[in-house]
Amino acid sequence: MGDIGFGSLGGILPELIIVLGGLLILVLDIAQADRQDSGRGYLAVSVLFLIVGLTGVLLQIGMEPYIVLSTTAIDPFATYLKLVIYTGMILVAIGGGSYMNRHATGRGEFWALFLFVTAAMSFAVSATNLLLLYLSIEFLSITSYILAGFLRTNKRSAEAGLKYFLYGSVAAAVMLYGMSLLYGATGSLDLGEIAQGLAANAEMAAIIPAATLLTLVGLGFKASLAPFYQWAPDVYDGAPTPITAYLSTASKAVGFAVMARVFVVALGAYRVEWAPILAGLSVLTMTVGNVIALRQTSVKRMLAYSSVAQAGYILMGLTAVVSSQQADLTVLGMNGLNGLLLYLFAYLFTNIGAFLVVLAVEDETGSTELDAYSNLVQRAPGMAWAMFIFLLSLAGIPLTGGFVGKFYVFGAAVQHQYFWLAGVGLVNAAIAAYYYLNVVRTMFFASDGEAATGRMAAPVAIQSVVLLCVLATIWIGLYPPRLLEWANSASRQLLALML
Amino acid sequence: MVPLNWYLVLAAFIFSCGLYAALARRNAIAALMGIELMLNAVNINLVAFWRYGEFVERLEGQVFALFVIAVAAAEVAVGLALIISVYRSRRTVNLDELDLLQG
Repeated sequence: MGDIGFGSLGGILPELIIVLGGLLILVLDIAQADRQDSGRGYLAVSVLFLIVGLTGVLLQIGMEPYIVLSTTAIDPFATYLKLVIYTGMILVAIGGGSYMNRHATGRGEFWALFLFVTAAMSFAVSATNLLLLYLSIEFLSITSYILAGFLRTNKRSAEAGLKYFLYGSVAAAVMLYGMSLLYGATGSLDLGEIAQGLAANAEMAAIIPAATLLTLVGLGFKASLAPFYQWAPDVYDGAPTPITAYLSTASKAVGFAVMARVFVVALGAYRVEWAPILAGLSVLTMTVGNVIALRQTSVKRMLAYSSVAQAGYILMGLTAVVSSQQADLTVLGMNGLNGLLLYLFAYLFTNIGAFLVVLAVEDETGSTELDAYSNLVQRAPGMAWAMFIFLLSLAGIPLTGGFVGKFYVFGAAVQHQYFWLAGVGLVNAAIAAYYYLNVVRTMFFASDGEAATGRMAAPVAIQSVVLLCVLATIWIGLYPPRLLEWANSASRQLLALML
Repeated sequence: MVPLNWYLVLAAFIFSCGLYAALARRNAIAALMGIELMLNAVNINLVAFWRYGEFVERLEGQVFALFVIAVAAAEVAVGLALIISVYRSRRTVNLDELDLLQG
C-alpha cells in the first residue's frame, strides 16, 4: 500500500486540473445570468485547462514509473495515451466547439462534461486496479451517453444517446460480472496481484476463460469490436459530429489501452490461449466494418463503419502481443503493442480531421450524404484536399500516418507468424480503399449535379484544426523518430510487467 | 453456514434474468430494470467472495459493492433522463420504434 496523502497527488495533477476546470465552468454557469450567452468564454476556458493538462502530461514524459494512491500508474504507457487523449480533446474543442455552442442548450453543462470526460479517460488509461478501472470506465461512459444525446431537440441525437446508454450499460454490467469473478478467484482487485494470484492457485484456472470473456465484452464494447459494435454506427451517426470525433478516437483508444493493460498485466500468464479468440475478433471486426461500409450513402455513417473496421486492424497489434510464445517481447522491434500505440496516434489526427471536414460540409449544406460532397473541390478546395489526405491515411497509403500504423501492426502479425491474419487484413485494406476513394471521386470528379454554387466558407477554427491534422498526418507518415521512441518505450515498459 | 456456491448460483441466476430482460424487452424502462438486476447480481458476487475469501480484513469486495450501488444510481439518473428526452420528441419508448438510425 502506497502512502495516501496530499504529497502523492502530484502524479495525478493533470487530471485534477481538468476536474477543477470542469467545476469552475459549472460555477461560472450558475453565476451566468445571461441565458443567451454564446458559450465562447467556456470554450476558451476549456481549451486553456486542456492545454495546461497536456503540459502537465508532457512534463511526465521520461519519468520513472510509479504508482499513486496504489491504484493509478504514472508510467510511459499511460503518459503516451494521455498525450493521445488530451491532444484529441483539444482538437475537438477548438474545431467543434463553436458548432456545439450554436446548437446545444446548456453550454455550461456541455463544457463541464467535456472536461470531465477527458479526466475520466485519463484515469482509465492509468488505472491498475479493477475498482478504479470500473469507476473511470463508467465515468467515461455515463458522461459520453449525455454528450451523445446532448442536442435534446434533435431526434437523431436523442435516439443516439438512448441507444448508447442501453448497449453501454449492458456491456458494463457484463464486464463487471467478469471482474467480480476475477476478484473471487484471486481475492484482490490489483492487476499485478491478480496475476500473482492466478499463478499461485492453478485450480483457479477454470474460472479464467469465463472471467476474461465477460471482461472482454465490456472492453470490446468501448473499442467497438465485432460482435459488440452494433451501437457504434448508430451512435456515431446520430451524435453531434464533434462528439463522434472524440468517441471514435480518444474513447476508442481508452478501450484498447485498458484491454492491453488487463491482458498483459493481469492475464499475461494465460495470454497464448487468448490469441485465437482475439485473432477471430480482429478478422470479424474488420470484415464486418468494411463490408457494411461499402453500401453506405452517408459519409458520416461510412466513416462510422470504417472506424469499426479500423478497430479490427488495431486489434491485430494486441493479437500479436498475446500470441507470442517468446518470454521477452521487449527485444522485438515490432512487438505489436508499439504498433497499436502508433496506430492510435495516427488514427487520432486522421479521424478527427475527417470528421471536422464532415462537420464543415454539414454546417454549409445541412447534409452528411455523399451528394453534399459532389465537386467539393470547386467550392472548398482546401477542405477537399484535406479530406483527400485523411482518406488516403485511413486507406493506409504510404507517406501518411495511417500507413505507419498499419505497417507496424501488420508487421507485428507477420513477425509472430500470423500470416493468415495479415493476409485477411491486406484484403480488407483493399476493400476499404474502394469506398474511401469513392468519396474522393465524388469530391473531385463528379460530373453530374449542379455546377459549383459559390464558395463554401468554413469557419477559421475548423480550417486551422484541419490544417493541423493534415500536417500531423503527414508528419507521422514520415516516421518521426521522437514518436517512435515514445511508442517503443511505452510498449516496452508495459510488456516488462508481464509475468 | 450457507456454502459459497449457493450465493454464486443465485447471482448467476439473477444476472441471467437481468441479461434476458435487457436484451429481450422492447420497452426501454424494462430494459433498464434488467440492467439493474445484472448490477445487483454482481453485488451479491462481490460481497460473497469477500466474505468467503482469505482476506476478510481487506474490505475491497464490500467497498466495490458500495461503489457499484452508487454508480448504478448515477446510471439510472442519466438513463431515465435520456428516456424522457426521447419520449418528449417521439411519444414512445419502444425500442423497435426508434429506427431513425439504421442501415
